[in-house]
Amino acid sequence: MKKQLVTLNINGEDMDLRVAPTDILADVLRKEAGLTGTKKGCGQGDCGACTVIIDGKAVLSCLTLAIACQGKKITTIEGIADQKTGEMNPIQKAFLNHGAVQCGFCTPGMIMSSYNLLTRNPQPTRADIRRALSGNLCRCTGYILIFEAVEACAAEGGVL
Amino acid sequence: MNILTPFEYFAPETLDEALELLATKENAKVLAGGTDLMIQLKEKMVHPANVIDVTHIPELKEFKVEAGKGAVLGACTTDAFCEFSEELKAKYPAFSYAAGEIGGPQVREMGTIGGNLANSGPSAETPASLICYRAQLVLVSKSGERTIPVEDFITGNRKNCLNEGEIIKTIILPEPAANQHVKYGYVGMRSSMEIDIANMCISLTVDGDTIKDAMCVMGSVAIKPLISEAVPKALIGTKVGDEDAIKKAAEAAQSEVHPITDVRASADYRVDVVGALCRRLLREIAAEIK
Repeated sequence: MKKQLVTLNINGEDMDLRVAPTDILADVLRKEAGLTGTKKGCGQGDCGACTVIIDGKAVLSCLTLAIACQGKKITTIEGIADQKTGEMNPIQKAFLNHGAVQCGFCTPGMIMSSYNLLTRNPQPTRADIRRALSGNLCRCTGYILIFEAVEACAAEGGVL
Repeated sequence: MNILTPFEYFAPETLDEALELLATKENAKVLAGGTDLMIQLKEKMVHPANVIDVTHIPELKEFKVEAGKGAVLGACTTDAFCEFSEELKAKYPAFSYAAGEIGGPQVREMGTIGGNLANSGPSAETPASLICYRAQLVLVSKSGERTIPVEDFITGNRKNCLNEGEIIKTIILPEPAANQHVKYGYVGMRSSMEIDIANMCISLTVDGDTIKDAMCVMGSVAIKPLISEAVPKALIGTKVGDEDAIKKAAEAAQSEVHPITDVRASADYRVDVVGALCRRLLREIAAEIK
């Protein structure tokens, strides 16, 4: 398939990538851009492991054509840490401190959905958190520690 | 890594350009939010030679709500927008609620109302409430525009009356009457990321506490949204919240459905769910009026 050169803005950086019209964003992030933090679970929009933020909205990179993302701002799990110091974002720290990570496969998606929630709603209720994370599956933690991590992050000053 | 069957991708920025592409490109599929099409592509259910992304077209993102004048939604209005819009919540609460029960949060940020309708799945969330609000669709192609009620648009399981080269442009919601009360409900295996076992929307128009007009639309129990004939007959002229009338309406709804047994539920269970939804929604409307 004929590839074409496209420019994708990923984590604030314009990247020139060779992309076929059929290439899925999750694959391009992982294999072309080298950003393997984004995980591909079901590949069918059910599990949320591939969640990234495009133009301020948490969306599924496994159901997104990479070529359709030209001119948009893509943020992946690698993009929420402090880009200069490499210091983790408060929501990442909260996940670690509260044991919200077990196998870790769902974690990038969980964190992106949590980050997106806290940017839009800095003081969410437990119900808000449950709803915001209802498109992300975790098979290890039972979710409670994840909800607590999001609450703690909100209580400690949020994600920004 | 899923390998999709090769296609050419187009992202027209004007409606004219999109309609020209649809008229001239062979075997084209329209891409809006992609939450249905991408899965159909991955599952090799469809094999388009051309994919036309319509999300960059301003006319398809129109949003207008005016006091006393209903609402106009561009076909590419996202489910999440309808879920969160205070104006839609106030004027069309059952539709806003239904839009907020599609898939999960990420799916709703991507998926569009036009896409939900054009996909015409029997278990789709938005058609029932749109029909209860008497919504119309403006369809457009190179040969012009036509307007059609939502109930006439969906013709079968994943079938609708879109002609070759034609797309949904806008969804027109008439102004609801002050005495019209609409509620949507559904039953699924879990509250998110599920496909409804059955869903239902009921509209009651009341005069004081007497039901003057009624509509009941059911989803996931037939090949397309089922508009009840028996439920309005059981309700019109009765008092809102009258338990005898509620019981009769639920039985009337159950008498009309002939659902299938599938991986999500048995036909018998679906019939039970239809009765429960009907009773629940009528009681909710009664509580709202009192």
